[in-house]
Amino acid sequence: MGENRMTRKRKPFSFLAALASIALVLLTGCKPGNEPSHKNTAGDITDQAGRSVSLPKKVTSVVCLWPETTRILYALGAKDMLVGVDNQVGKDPVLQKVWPEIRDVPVIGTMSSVNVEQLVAARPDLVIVSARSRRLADQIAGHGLSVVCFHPRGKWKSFLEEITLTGRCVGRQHEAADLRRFIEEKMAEVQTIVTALPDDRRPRTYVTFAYDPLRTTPLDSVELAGGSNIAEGNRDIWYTVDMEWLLARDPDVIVQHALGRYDLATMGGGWSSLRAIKMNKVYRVYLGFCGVDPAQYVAQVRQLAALFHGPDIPWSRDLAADGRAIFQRVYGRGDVFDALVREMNITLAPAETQQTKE
Amino acid sequence: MGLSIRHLCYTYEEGFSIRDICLDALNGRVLGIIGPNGSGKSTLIQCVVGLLRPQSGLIRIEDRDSASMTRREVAQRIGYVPQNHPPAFPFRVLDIVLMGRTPYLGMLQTPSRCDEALAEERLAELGIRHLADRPYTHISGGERRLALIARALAQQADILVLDEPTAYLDFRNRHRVTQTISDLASQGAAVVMSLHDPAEALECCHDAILLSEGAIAAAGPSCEAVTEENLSRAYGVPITRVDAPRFLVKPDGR
Amino acid sequence: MRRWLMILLLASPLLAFPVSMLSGRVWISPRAVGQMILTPQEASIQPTLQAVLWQVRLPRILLALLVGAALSVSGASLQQVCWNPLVSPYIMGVSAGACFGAALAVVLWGGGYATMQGCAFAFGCIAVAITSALSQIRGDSSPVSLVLAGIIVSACFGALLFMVYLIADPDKVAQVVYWSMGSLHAASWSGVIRSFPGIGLGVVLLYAFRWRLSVLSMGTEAKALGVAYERERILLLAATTLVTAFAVSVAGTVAWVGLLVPHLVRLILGADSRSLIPASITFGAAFVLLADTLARTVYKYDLPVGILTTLIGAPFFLYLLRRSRTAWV
Repeated sequence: MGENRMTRKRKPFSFLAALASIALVLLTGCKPGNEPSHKNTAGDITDQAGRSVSLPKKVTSVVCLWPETTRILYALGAKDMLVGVDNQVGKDPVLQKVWPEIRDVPVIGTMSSVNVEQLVAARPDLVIVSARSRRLADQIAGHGLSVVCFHPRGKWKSFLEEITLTGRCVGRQHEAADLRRFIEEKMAEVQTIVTALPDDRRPRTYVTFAYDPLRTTPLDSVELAGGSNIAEGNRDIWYTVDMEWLLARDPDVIVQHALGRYDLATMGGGWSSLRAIKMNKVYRVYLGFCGVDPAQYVAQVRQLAALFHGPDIPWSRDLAADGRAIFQRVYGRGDVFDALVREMNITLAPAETQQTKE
Repeated sequence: MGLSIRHLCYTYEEGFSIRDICLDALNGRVLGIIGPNGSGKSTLIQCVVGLLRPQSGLIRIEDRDSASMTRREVAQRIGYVPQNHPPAFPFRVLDIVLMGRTPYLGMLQTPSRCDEALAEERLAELGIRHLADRPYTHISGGERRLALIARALAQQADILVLDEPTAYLDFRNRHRVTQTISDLASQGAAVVMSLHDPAEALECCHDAILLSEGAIAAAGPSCEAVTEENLSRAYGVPITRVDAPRFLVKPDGR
Repeated sequence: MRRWLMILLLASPLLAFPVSMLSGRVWISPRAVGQMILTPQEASIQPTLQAVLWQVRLPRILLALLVGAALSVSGASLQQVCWNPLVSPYIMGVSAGACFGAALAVVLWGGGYATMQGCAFAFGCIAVAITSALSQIRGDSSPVSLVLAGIIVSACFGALLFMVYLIADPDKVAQVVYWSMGSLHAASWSGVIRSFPGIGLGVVLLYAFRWRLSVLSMGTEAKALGVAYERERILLLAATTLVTAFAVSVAGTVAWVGLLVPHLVRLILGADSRSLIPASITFGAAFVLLADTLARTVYKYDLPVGILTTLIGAPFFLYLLRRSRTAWV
C-alpha cells in the first residue's frame, strides 16, 4: 500500500503512517491491500464519464454519492445494498417519503467529496459517483475500490442507459429492463400524440430555476411534452438571463420549478407584463432534485403535455391519478405523488380549465 | 496668560510614564523641552495638545482648565506642529494650511473664501506662497515643516506647540524655522517646543526644561537649566561644553 | 482645466444615462424612448417596449447608479478615515459577511430576493461590528489594526461560506455564487425602493462631512485641529458601512469600484475631499452604470457586473499606481 512506500521514503512520517495502517487494519479488519482482483470480475462496462470499469462479480454493498442513482437503486429493489450515501439524498422530497429509513444510511460524503476513512471502513463492493465528479472517482479508485460514474447530462436516452447500467452493476438486470420498458411505454404514449402536432401548437416555454426566476435551462422534458423551450443551447446547465431578453421573447407558458416558493405574479421588475403571467399560465412543476427521478420524470413529461395540450391528452382529465399510477409502479407508493402535489402546490390543470371553474 | 501645567502624569499601558511635570509657558517667550530619547518629550507635547489624555494633573490654557474645554476650544488656543509625517494623500499645501481653520468651522461647514484668503496670507508670511498649489507630498522636508507652521498659524492661536521642529532639516531650512519661531514669540505668542539638540535650547529658547526618564531633571532660564552637570546627569554620560567651530546664517540673510 | 474636469466628472451620470437607456437586448429607438417619457399615456407604443423600459431598464439603471455611488463614496470616505489609500469597503469584511448571510438565506429559507438582501445586510453589518470591535482591542484603533481585523473577519466569514457551500445543495450554491460575483440582474422597483433610503442617507451624510473627511485623513493629529476624533470617526465608519451593506445586499460584491474610482478621481482632482467626495459619488455611479450596461449586452448570457468591474478595474488600477507612484506610495 501507499503507506508502506512512504515509510521507506520519509522517516518523519513513518510513525504516522504506521498508526494509519494499524487504524486501517483495525477498521477494515483485514490486511492492507484490497485491490479488486481481476479474476473475479463480472465483465467490463463503460460508464457515463467514459471510463472503463471492471465490475466485481457479486455486488452486495454499494456506496452511492449521486442521488439520481440512489433513487434508481431503490426503484430496482436494491436499497438494502446501500451502505453509504451523500449528504443531499436525505433531503430528496421523494425518497424521504417512500423510504424514510434513508436517514439511517450513513452519510459518508457529498456529491463531490468523501470521507475516505468511512468509505474504506464501509468496504463497499461498488462506489457510484456523479460523472461531474470525475476527480472524486479517480481518488476513490486510488484506494482500490470499484467506481462507476453516472450522469445523463440532461439527455433522456442516457438516463434510460443509466437505468440499464445500474441494473448490470448490482445484478438486477431484469428489474432494470422492466423499469425501462415501463418508462418507455409511458413516454411513447406522449410521443405518439405530440409528434403529430404542428409547430405553432407547441407553446413557447420558459423554465425557471427553483431559487432564482431569472435562471433557466434548456430542459428537454419541455420538448418531449410537445412544447418549445425558449432557453438557448442544449447543455444541461442553468444560466442567468436578463429580464429584457425574457420580455422580448414573451413566452406563452412559464414552468416554475415547484421547489421555488416565490410568486411570479407579485415579483415586480416586469414580470407582470409577461403574457404567460397575465394569462395565468405559470405552471408549478416539480423538476426534480439533484438529477432525474425515474417516476417523477415520466410524471413530469406527462403533466407538461397535459398542461400544454389540454383535451388532446387523454390523461389530462385526471393528472393526479396518472401521477399516482406512475409512482405506484416505480416506487410502490402512489400516495407519495399526492403528498408532493400538496407540499409543492403542483399544478394539475391547465389555465383554461382553471378559469372556467372560477 | 499662556500655558501652565501642574503635576501632570501620564502612564502608558506598557508601563512608561511621565510624572509630576510642572511648567509655565509665557506669552512672548520660547520654552524648550530637551532630554534623551525616550525621556518623555513627545508624550508631554501630546498631552499638552490633547492627543493623549493625562491621568492626573492640571493643564491651564489661558487661565481655563483644559479638562473643561472641548477639542475645538483647545484648538482655537493651541496651534500644533507635529513631527514631520507626510499624509497618505497628495493634498495641496493650501489645503493643509486650510485645515488649520477647522476649529472655527461647524461640523458640516467647509472653509469659506475668507478662510482661503487667510491661509494664503499665512503662506505668504512664511515666504512659501509659491507652494500653495503643489502637492504636500512632493515638497521638501523643510517646506513641509513651514507648511505645518502655517497651518498652526491659521489656527490663530496664541500658544504654539512644536514637536522637534528642527529635526532632519538642512542648514537653510533650520534657520528659516528657528527664525520664524523667534519672530512669532516676539510678536507675543507663547511657544513650547521639544528639541533634539541641547545646544539649540541655548541658542533659541528663553527657558528650558530638561527631562530624564519621564521626570523633570532641571528647569529654568535656558542658560541655567542647560548646564554640563545637568546634561551629564540626564544623559548618563559625562558631557562637557566646547566652543567648536560652528556656522550660522547671517542675521540679515534669509 | 481642473474646473472643467470636475464638471465633466460631476456630469458623467448624465452622459452615461442616455447610453444605457438605449442599450439592451431589446432595441428601443430614441424616438420611442422620448415618446414614452414625454407622453406615456399614448398607446402607440407596444406594451412590451413599455414594460422593458419602465419595469426593467429604468429600475436597473437607477440601481446601478445607486450601487456605484454607494461603493465609490464609501471607498473614498474609508480611505480618508483610515488614512490608508489601499482600504476599500470590502476590507472591512462587509462583503464576506454579506455573502455568508445571502448563502444562509438561500440555504435555510430557499432564497427570494428580499430574504437574501435582508440577510446579506444583517450579516454585512455584523461583520463590520466585529471588525471594529477587534480593531479596538489594543485601544488605539490604528489603520493597520483595522485592516488586520478586517482580514481576520473576512477570512472567518469566508470559511463559514465555504462550509455552507459544502453542506448545501449545489443548485442553491450556484445561485449564491452568481450573486456573490456582483450582479444587478434581479433589479426591480422594489429593489430601488428598498435600497434608496439607506444609500441616500449615507451618501448625504458623507457628503455633508466632506471637509471633516479631509481633516480626519491627517490621522490622530486631527484631534489637535479641533475634531472630536473618536466620535466623528465612528459616525463616518457607520455611514460607510450603511451604504456598503445596502449596496452589497442588492448587488452582491461589485468589486474594485470602491478602490478604483476614488483613486482615479484623486489623480484628476487632488486629495481634497471637498471635490473628491462629490466627484466620487457621480463618477462611481456612471462607472457602474456603464459596466452594467456592458454586462447586460456584450454576451449572450447576462454577465455578473462584478466580473466586468474587476476586469476593467484591476489592470487600470495597476496603471494608476504606476503612473503616480510618488503621489501616494
